[in-house]
Amino acid sequence: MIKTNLLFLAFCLVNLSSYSQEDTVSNETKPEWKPSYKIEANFEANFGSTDLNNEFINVLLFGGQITPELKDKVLNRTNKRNRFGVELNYGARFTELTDTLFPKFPEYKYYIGFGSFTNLSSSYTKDLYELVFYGNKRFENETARLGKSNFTSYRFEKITFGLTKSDESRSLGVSLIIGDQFSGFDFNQADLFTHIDGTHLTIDYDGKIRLSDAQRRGFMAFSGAGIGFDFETLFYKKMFRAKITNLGVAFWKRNATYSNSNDQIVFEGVEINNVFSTSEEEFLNNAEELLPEMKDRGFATLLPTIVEIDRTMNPDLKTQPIYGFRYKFFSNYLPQFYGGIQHQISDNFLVRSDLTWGGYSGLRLGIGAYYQANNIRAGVQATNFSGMFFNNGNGNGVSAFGAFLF
Amino acid sequence: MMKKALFIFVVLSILFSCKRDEDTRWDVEILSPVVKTRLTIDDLVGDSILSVNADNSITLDYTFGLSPIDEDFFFEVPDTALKLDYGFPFLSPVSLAPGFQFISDPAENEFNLNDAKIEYMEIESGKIEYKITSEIPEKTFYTYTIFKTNDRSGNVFRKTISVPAGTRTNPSITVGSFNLNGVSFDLTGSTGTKFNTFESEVLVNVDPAGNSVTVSNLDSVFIENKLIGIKPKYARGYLGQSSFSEGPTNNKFTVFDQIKGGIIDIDSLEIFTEVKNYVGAEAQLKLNQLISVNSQTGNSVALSHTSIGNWINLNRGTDVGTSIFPGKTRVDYTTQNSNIDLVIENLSDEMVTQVETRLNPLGNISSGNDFLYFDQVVEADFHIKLPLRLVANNLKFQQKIDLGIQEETNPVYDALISIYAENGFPFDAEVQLFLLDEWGGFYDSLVVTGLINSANTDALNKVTTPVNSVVKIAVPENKMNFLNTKNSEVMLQIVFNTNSLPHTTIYRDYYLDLKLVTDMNAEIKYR
Repeated sequence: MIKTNLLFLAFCLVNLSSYSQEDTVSNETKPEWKPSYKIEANFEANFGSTDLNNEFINVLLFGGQITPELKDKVLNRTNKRNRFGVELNYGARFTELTDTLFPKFPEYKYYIGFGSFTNLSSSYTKDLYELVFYGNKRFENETARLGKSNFTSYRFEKITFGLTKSDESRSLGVSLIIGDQFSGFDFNQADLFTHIDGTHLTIDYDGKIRLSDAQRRGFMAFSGAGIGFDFETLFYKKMFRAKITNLGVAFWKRNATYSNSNDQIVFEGVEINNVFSTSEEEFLNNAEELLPEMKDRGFATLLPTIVEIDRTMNPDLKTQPIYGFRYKFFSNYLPQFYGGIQHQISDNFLVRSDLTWGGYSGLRLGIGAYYQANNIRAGVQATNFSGMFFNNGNGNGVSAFGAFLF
Repeated sequence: MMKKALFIFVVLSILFSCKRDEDTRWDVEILSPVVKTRLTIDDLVGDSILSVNADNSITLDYTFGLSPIDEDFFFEVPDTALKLDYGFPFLSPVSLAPGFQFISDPAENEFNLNDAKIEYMEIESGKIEYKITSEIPEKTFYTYTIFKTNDRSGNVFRKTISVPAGTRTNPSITVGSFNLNGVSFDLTGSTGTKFNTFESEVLVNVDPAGNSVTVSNLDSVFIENKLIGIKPKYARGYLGQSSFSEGPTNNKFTVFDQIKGGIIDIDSLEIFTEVKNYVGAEAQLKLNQLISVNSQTGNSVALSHTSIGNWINLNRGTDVGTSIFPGKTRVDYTTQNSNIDLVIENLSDEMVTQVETRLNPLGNISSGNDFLYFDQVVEADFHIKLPLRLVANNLKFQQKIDLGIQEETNPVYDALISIYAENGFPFDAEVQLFLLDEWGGFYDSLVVTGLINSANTDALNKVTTPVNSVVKIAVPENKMNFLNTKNSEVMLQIVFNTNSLPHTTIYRDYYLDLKLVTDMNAEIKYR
């Protein structure tokens, strides 16, 4: 397994997306050699939370006991509104560097790309955290305010055709979106009142549930389909780079279910007709009827569009500041800001370090190292380096990219 | 540095890509209602018809059939084979022209119906099977007619089939059958004075479109007819004498299905056997035994009544053309003339019966005017009309409940179950909960505190207001562990006792609301 991962690492190298060094590297390409093609690959994985610490997240994601002490520790960090998210994205791109499909625009070259995007995210109240991890008994004769909360799980692939300017100052791509799975639980209001002695539960609920085909969730499942656009440009004297990824929409029609309801439910137990002639089946059927009614109905979702703005690198400076911004729509994402410093160690090596706040985590330290040669560029970055070593950290993240020119 | 980053990346990649080998789990305290139900008198009495009286009290009306008779009781039409062998009485060869009829053979056939003398019969189903062996060297036509019959279209039953040419050394053989479904027979024969007799005719012709054919006394036609599986639908005439004995038969008695123990004392009841004779002939019925069996307690109580072991005469039914009016006979059982109250109070789940029936015990006293519709003969039903006015003493109702705990179910460590009851019955109710072993037997009981108290009643013992009670059942860790690991089935038992006044009347609007609330420590887990 480790061997496989190493091989994978050798192939897929970091696209540091928001921290990418592509401008710097491209300016340093030796002028006497002009490659014809470029193959790029990228990988990005991270998870984080504004309140859950790494010890908690690790158990949540990878198994183990969430002890009362651990729950209490997290509860102390929990605010009125909290976030948790996991991202796993990877992709590859082939660019024709010499030819163009559009003679009228000879400076634009075409590229073909593939990408896969997985995003599990949530935003939730403190009461919801307590309800889930402690139970409702502590809310006896009290109302647990579970809204506004959101849980979204989104996975799709895309196949992209695009044009990129020879100097990489601008590119535009259009993608076919292949939806694998979407689950969206959006609780605008969910107040749960546990009556004394638990004789009743009263739920004031206003929420929306959207689920794609439960039987079709695998890779390239085509549970949904859509269109997306990618756009990237340099601006303000080429000092900044703006990038928009996955601006578009997906339509989930195949066996999709939908619920949008606003109701007050007084739960006094699952009703059974006759206790002396009942069955487990009757109980389960009647229990199911208490849940919001799911209608067989398709729905459309906007893609989790990523917007990034970064300062570009000055190739003449060995040491220089780096800073930028990233936001991901419809993903319970906090606006993310980073700032740091970059240093060119030699012609081939460069390192950087930054402090980041936002996304799914609080303040964290990131470090990265990059290599470039005639026809190879590669880099790897720990985007939450501090989180890797501290149980009290609030996430983890790595990203890697690589490019091969020939 | 690069090496470390690589290491971290690899570790994370493994974490993301590897299957989890351990559940994520944590403990929670849950306080929630689980189940609610309303018990009414309908839920406590099984498969009965409850009728509401003018004062809103309830009478239980239950009937079960004694099945005193089946179709074998009456005459059967046996399969009847008719074989014909036609030779030709010519000394020298003779030429038969096309269309020439060389066999014309009317015959009277008689059903063997023992002592029954049937004049008219309609067939529900049955057939004539035939086999024709021909040595005639030309195609022939075989026509079979049964006179004084009507098929469904009102025509005489007549069928013609084509028989291919044959030779002495290689005769042609034709087999087949004619369907007799729906055909009616006048069984008085050609003279109109006989019984069980029908007239038929076989005609055989040379093919009119064929050639002349030469036959001699050495040539033959063999015709075999067989009446198969004749099942009558209706018969008229004298049905004959017959007898039938049924049982002992275990009849499921579901009135008290839900009751698993205790004593019930009934104030009054109306119980009778009603026999309806749809047959147009006199009959007799004898109930040799009726035993109430409670398989839970093993107690049996035999009905003691003057009718037991004695013949009851059943008057003949009357056919008015569009419907039949049965001859009705009713035998009443009261507490004065029988021990029927003990039979009922035994809370049986089975009634064992043994019945005998006789048809035409006095012979042909109707001068051959009996009739019988085979789908409607003699019905004997045991009726119970029981006003629900009773005394209940430790009346036990049970239900096995599977909590559905499986390996993947989130385990519960311990629980306190509270049953909130609103009782509108004039009964006290005691709740008990038992753990069952892997084989369904009693293993242990759970400690229950509290009683579901009787509703408040007036001087006539009629409920005025329901009463609320709470019953607590503690399920400690060791017993919950048994449920989690051994058998998750429990036996719920509710024991009812009427309050001190005798013979409590049950009214339609009585109810018992139960709500089960759990306060439990449980583990949530997922993989």
